[in-house]
Amino acid sequence: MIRLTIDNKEVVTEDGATILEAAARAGIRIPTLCYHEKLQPFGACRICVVEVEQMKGRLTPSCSTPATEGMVVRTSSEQIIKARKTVLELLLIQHPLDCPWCDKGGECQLQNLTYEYGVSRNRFKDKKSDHPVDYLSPLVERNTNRCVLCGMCVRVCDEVVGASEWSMVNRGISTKIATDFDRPLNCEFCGECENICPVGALTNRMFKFKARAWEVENVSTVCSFCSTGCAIKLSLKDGRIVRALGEEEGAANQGSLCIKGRFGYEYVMSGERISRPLVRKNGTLTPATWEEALQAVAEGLKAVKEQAGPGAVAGLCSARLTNEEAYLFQKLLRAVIGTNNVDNSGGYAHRGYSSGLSLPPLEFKDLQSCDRFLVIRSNVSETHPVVGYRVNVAVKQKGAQLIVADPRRIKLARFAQTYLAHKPGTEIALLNGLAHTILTEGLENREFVAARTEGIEELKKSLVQFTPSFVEQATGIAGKDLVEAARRFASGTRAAIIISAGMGFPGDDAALARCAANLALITGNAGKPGAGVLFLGEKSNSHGSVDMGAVPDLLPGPQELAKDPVRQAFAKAWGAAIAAEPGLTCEQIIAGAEQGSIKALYCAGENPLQAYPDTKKTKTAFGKLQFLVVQELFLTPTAQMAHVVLPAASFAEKDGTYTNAEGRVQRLHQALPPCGETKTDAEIFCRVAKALGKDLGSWNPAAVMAEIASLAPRYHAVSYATLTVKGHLLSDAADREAPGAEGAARFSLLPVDVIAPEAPSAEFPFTLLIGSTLFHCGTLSTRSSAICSVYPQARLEINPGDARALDIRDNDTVQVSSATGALTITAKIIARQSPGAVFIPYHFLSPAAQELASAAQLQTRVKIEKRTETSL
Amino acid sequence: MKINRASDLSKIKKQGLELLSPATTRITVGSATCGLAKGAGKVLEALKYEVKKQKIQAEVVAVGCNGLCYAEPIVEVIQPGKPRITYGPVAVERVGELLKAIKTGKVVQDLALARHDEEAYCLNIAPLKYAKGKVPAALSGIKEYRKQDFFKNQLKLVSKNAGTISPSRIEEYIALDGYKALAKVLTEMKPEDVIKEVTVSKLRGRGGAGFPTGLKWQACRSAAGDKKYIVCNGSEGDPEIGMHRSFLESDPQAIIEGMAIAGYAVGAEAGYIYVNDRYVVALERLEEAIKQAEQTGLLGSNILGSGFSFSLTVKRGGGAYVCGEETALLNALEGLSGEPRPRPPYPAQQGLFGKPTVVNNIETLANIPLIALHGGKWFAKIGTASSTGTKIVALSGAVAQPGWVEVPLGTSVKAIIETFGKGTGTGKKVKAFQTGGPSGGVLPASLLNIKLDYDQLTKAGSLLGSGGLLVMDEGTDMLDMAKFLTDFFAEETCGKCSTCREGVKRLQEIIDSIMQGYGTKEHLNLVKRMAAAMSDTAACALGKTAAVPFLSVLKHFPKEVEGKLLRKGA
Repeated sequence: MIRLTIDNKEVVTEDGATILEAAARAGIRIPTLCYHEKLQPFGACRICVVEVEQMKGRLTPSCSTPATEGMVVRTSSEQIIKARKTVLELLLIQHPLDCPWCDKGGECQLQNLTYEYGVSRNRFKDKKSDHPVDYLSPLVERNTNRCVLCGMCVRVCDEVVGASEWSMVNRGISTKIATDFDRPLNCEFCGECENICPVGALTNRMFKFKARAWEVENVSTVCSFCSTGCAIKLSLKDGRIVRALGEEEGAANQGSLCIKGRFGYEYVMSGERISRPLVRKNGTLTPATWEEALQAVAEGLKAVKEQAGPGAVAGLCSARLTNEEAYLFQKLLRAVIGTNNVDNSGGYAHRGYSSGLSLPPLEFKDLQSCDRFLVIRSNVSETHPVVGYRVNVAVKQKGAQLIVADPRRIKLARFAQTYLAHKPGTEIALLNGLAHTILTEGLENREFVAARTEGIEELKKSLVQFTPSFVEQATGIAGKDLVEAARRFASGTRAAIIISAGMGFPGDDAALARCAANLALITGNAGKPGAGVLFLGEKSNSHGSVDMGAVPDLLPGPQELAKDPVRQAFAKAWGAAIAAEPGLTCEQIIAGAEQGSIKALYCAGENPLQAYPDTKKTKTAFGKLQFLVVQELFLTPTAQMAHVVLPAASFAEKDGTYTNAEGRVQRLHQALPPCGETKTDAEIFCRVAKALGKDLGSWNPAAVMAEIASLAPRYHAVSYATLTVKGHLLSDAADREAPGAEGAARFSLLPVDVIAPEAPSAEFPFTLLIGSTLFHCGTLSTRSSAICSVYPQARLEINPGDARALDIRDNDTVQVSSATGALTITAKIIARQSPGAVFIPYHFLSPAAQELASAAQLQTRVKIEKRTETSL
Repeated sequence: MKINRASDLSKIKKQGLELLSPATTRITVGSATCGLAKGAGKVLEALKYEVKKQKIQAEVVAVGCNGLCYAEPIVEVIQPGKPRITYGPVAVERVGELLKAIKTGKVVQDLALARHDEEAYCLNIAPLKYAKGKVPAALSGIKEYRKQDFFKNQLKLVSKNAGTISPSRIEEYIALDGYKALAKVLTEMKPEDVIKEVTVSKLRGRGGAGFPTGLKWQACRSAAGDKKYIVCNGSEGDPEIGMHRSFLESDPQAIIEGMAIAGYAVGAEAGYIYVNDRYVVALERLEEAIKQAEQTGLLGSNILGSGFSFSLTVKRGGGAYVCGEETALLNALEGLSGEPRPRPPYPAQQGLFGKPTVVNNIETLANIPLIALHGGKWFAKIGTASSTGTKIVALSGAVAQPGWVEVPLGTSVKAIIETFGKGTGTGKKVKAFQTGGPSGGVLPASLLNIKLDYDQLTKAGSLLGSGGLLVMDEGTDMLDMAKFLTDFFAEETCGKCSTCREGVKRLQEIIDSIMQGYGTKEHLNLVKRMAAAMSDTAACALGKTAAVPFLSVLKHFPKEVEGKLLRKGA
């Protein structure tokens, strides 16, 4: 620790802190224009100069000068004030002073400092800068006339986002922020640049002329897209959301956002929202009152239950329901209907963390202290961009080493020390190969293995076959590269393995998670911060949905349904018997519908016809249902088949909590009144139960959470009264630092055999990879016009060599067919795509990649033909 | 020949001495850029052609510059037993005449500049004796160099080899005690001892700030780091100086030796030399010199069997003035924009690629072999108490004989201008002078007695800098001068920090308005205040000193500026 004096105040700060940081800690504000705590000090604006007694009265920038023992600092003196005023004058000479119509007005640092220092006159005169405003890029507007060249946009894009889209071009007085040759942006459109801009040089085009900064009311809530759980603030004016901002206090994101979080909220206010309940009358969905609709639901469900028993009823929910709603949904099915047939996320997308992974999750902030990363089956920069930022920072700024294993040359591969382009679907063989190499070379952490794990001998035995040559044959990764990767991984002290789960990925997540856990455990990467496996669920409450028991074999906690005392406790609390038999999984529910054993289905926010594999099969199965009720925001393809459609409130229209991938429970706050007659899912579930003659209790989220806390030990300490903007880190996540002393849990090493992917056939020579793109998450984001202005429709990503062989050019229309179906799509030739594999994102209604996939197979094989006919 | 023992150096030394004073005639042509610009290339070609054609027993060698830039092309003739004769300027038309004189043992009287009976290169080096016995009558008319002002008033230590040895022959460098210092350091001294000698020598950086070199090295040696680097700053972005270029073209091995010694002292195994890409000849010779040093075993692994390894890489810079600033230079070396980094951390703590790095300029490094060989105490006796050693001064502007000279620190500016420059050459008196390149202040003739000394110059509002000396005569418009220098900064500011980027532009505008007749007293006050803000807040020395030229003109020539202001009623 260092002791120094700032403005006659004794300050104690940690080693390496700058004067600015030390002052901030002591509550002394030093003005800045180019400093941000997320970025490396830059020292360009010269506003933050201070006097240090030991420096003979010279002024020094506090943002980049380290505090040293015994320093005596003054942050304002006549000389300092004069210097700051002169700097401001200089910055204002050519600044257009168009504050009345600048969107940053009211939150502009230059404006605030000019006011604070009373720079009302300028001794210098020159023409105002009058460069044309750049409207070429979607979402971000560039007005270099207002720029103060703080370089924060350039640095955040490089140091945090890792896109390096902006640069300072030219020199001296001609310096400006620009892309190469001023072309339009072709980047991730995260908006971090415009958000960090202290002036109005880069602004949010969606916010343009929407509101003055002081007119808006900010509501703090959680982003509704992926499981990073970024804390956001929705700015409201006249009952509409005018923008979304990252919450600087947010523990998961520290103020950062990606395109989805910043620009994707529009779906909430879409004119296509269903605002009234719909009931099918004479074959058509007709607007109805809530009473009618609830009556119809009750009758439909009751009829099936009475005719075919509770086992003929099933429920599928979205992983975007809040914890409270997911809890009520499974309670409705278990306690009111009497079935365990409840599942979410296609039934397989959650298995990595619901049944595969036995390790507690990693905390995001600790990723920055990792020294090794293994990123496998995870385009984390696209599926969970803000988690990707943390990896960027660790690798680019802090020197962590990165191993990327992915058939596609994903963004992180650029920064990776080792990049393994394995054959699609062979991740398990690769992980086992790494574990095998580590064990045969004796690189494992023997002490940890002995003290904290069991089953090492069985694991060793099961891994015998995974020699480098075997793995080379299976994965296409050369033996020496595998060995190098294994050594690199094992030489770290804190290694994180990152895997993304999601609807598009094949369904071997549980096995994959076990292999990853084995690898982490043999290298001692568990039980300390920044070490372990991060299995990232796809959607905002993917992890919470499992915790709340919205799966067939788990009760809220999650606690195992198979255990009698667990079931008894819930039976007692709910006043209803709970079947011991686990319910049907999602795939089984669809199969059941097809075969006639499932007759009624309740889809709460889930849209299987757009999001699940094998659309044709799902459609046939749903067509056979006696009763389908869909609770939704939009009239989705699934809703269009329903007997009753119940309009639900969006994330911005309700209170509740989400649990993110690090196990952080965070609070949603209602920003908007419900659209039309919509009701929150929680209220609807309670009303449906009531219509069925049962009481689910209150739908007040705080009360529901209190009930959850009383039944789920992990959620014991979660209470609305104490939840802050930083959320609540669940206990097992918080306790993972518990030393490996006596009584500490021993981790099981679980052998996994390789699941060989199907070999390409002559008929279907390509492997189809289906997944998420950076710009979308699930299917909701396709309802946001801002996001669609960047990425409007699915494209087939194909390697240049493959494209050449098929005579396909960029933007050609091609036909892709599999054993399951066929579609036509625009081709995008892209070097990062590995040869022999093509990629289609799954979010879109048409062309829909999932029509090609089959739930029964891990890999989808396709053939690709160029469409030759030309039509008008 | 590759050697791996210090004692083997003597074999190469013998070869080198045979080349320097051969049994046949040796004709050297000053072929640094200053000479080449005046046609030395043609002279060299012509000499080679004619020597071959006329079957003269002579070797024609391209050498560097000996400082007589005003008299280029310089040709020197060394014949066995005879004094060495310096001729200049030798136009290509006079090559025939010169060769005829060589063949017949005569002298071209009107071209002969000096006679060297023997050459005492440096202390402790046995002089090379050229003349044996009595000087022939034909030569006695030429003044011996030690009796000429230009030579006798110089103290050629770092530039002792320049213009004498071939920059492309490591043997000739070794002949004049080259690499003796490195051999001594590697075999007899501990790294700490080397740093101690440099500290005792009180050598200060020859680049600008005059930071004590020993302290810099010690800081780098003490800094923690798995790798360390030595970086040679050969950026030389000053407009009127070319002595680093000239030095590299004349004696590149001295830099290599200096860097290797620095590497040994601070614990670095790799070095980078950053050279202005426009220095085509210098780069060519430097790269050739590195190759020869590697082939001789004086660079590379396990040098002279000592276990110390050192490698060098040449990096070409774009020639931006700001890249002479050490942190901007490091950025440029790493492939980033040449913009200064915040300091601290200083390069000695966290420099190139984040590792402890010593950045020294060419002249500083050229002093190192001398200090290592002769000791810090010897060095500290030269010059003044606080400014030890010698300084190469590049003399330009209104002088009759521009060029560069090496004088002990403490020599007066007046003496330099009069002795070496031979006055203004225009018949007008000296009006002002500027030391230290564009960042230095413009001082009036009344201060001509000021001594070349870090502290005295700083006190007078200028700086020693890299050693430029720009002379202005009575015909110079001082405001014009201020504008020239301010325009230079406006061109060279990198634009990173706001005060420098905006400030220089405003200075430029104020000068322009004064020149156009719209200037007011207010403008002058504004300049003073802004200069204060720039020196207070700019990020690097470029911005901190950008207003110095204008300010010094205002201070020393106020009437001249005020006379141009807008008059009431005008």
